[in-house]
Amino acid sequence: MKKIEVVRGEYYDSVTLMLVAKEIKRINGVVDAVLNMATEANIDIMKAAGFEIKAGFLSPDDLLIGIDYRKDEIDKIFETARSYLASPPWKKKEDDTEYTPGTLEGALAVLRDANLALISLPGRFAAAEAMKALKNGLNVMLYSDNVATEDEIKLKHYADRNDLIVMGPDCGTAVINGKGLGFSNVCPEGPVGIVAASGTGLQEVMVQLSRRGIGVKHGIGTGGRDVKECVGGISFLKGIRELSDDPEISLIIAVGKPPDPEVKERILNSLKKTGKDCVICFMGDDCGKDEDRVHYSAELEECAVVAEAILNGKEVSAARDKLRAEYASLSGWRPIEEVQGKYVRGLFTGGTLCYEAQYIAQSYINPIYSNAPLRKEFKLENSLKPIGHSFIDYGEDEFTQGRLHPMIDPSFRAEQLKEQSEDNSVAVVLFDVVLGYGSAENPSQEVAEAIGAVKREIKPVYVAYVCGTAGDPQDLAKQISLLEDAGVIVCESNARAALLASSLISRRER
Amino acid sequence: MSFKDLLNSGPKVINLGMERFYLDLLEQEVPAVKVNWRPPLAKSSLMDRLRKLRGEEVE
Repeated sequence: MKKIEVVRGEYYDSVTLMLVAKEIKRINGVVDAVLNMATEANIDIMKAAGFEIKAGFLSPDDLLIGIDYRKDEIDKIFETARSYLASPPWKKKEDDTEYTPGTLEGALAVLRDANLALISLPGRFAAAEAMKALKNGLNVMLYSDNVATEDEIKLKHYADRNDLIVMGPDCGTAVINGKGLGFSNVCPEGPVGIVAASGTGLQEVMVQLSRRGIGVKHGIGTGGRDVKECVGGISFLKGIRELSDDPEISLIIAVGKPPDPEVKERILNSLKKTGKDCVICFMGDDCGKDEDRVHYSAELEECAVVAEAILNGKEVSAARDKLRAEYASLSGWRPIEEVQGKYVRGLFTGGTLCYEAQYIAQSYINPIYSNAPLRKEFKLENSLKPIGHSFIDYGEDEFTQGRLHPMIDPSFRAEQLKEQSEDNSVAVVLFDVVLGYGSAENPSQEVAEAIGAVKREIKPVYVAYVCGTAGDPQDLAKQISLLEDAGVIVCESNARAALLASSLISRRER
Repeated sequence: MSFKDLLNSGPKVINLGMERFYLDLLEQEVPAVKVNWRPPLAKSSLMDRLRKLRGEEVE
């Protein structure tokens, strides 16, 4: 039976709601539990799940608790849900003694020398709070998506006039003075400064640098739209200027999906003016040949390889050749003799990892369909019904409305992985697991369980990449062995995983 | 505090939104305060609409 309870005027963040739902699902007799703020999108999702909701009486500030149950103890279950919301069972007791201000101004009275507001509120409220923060002299990291372009421009112009920065909207990752904000990996501090219009792009470069013993001082996120002509690269260019002035930074890396041409020109000119070694990775975008101290790379791992060569005084071309030779040998590797099915399905939690994988795999398999394709004509009509070779980014807005980002809650991606694995036309399933602060506690476990539950005589080949460092809270070695025990081939970079997965079913040599 | 100050002195953060991010900051020993944020009352949007009807500017 399904029943809904409305709690009026109570706001909770999406992680709290997910955690309470998980606790409730553990109660005997509960089939499912869904807790959502009553936005239009969430109401639609809950209606689709079979809950009866009279939308006309609700506002987005109301909380919906939907419970599907077997036993007739529903009142007790709702009571438990409310008590968990009031006092979450996973919280330490000492947390309750803290004073928690209700406004930004109140928080400023507590932390007088605050210099950054980290905002992950629903998009419709985020811009107003960001402007309030700027007016109080704070820099802003805006994790929220669904912020209007005109609001982004207004915020960034205001910040620029007042010597502040707005990282975002849709900025998931940043590192300031070695401290991670949002989704970030535990990496050593070092002489590298990164500006990135891409969250998982920044994470992958930091992880690959860290695995080569290179540390990062600052990783400045800008949000993907910053490098579009409409915004003009305001934060990206500001980031380059500051990294240029920092005497501790000897190498600057610029990362992102390809910027709009005029913005790219401005970024390249600005990098050239720094007089420092620079490595640019705009993922497949042809920026030209290396010149003087400016180097280009098409892939994220290559970007780290080139940076390491420069910093350690090695020949860049030799380092590149070595990487290419390793890629060539990987593309000829056949770890499994017989592969059943024809298609590769890439199931990603990281948007830039999905993009990079398509860029690399297109040399081996074509066409690749996606909800975030390299070319518009390969856009999937229905992201829940992939066709042919399809690479899906489960962090796209269409999946995160009413759901947590898959790096925080990997359960939906795990369900999709099981479903795709049971499609007889699928030969290879490629996926990412992203570790670090902000990410799920045990993401490989969910995937391993999904693989274990697959009902198909001969399962597809599983190829994965775990983006993480040995210092990350999830324990990198444990996450890799959970996957390997489930029969997954785990590669050392996102590029390598994409290369192996696509070359497995293509005999074409690079 | 300018962007340069932020980079020079390291982050001191006011967190609005997901508590998870705030707890991760504390774990890294980053000075941080969380705001127990609540959406503006629904009535404000009604007030905004009334003000707009009266021709007043709404922020």
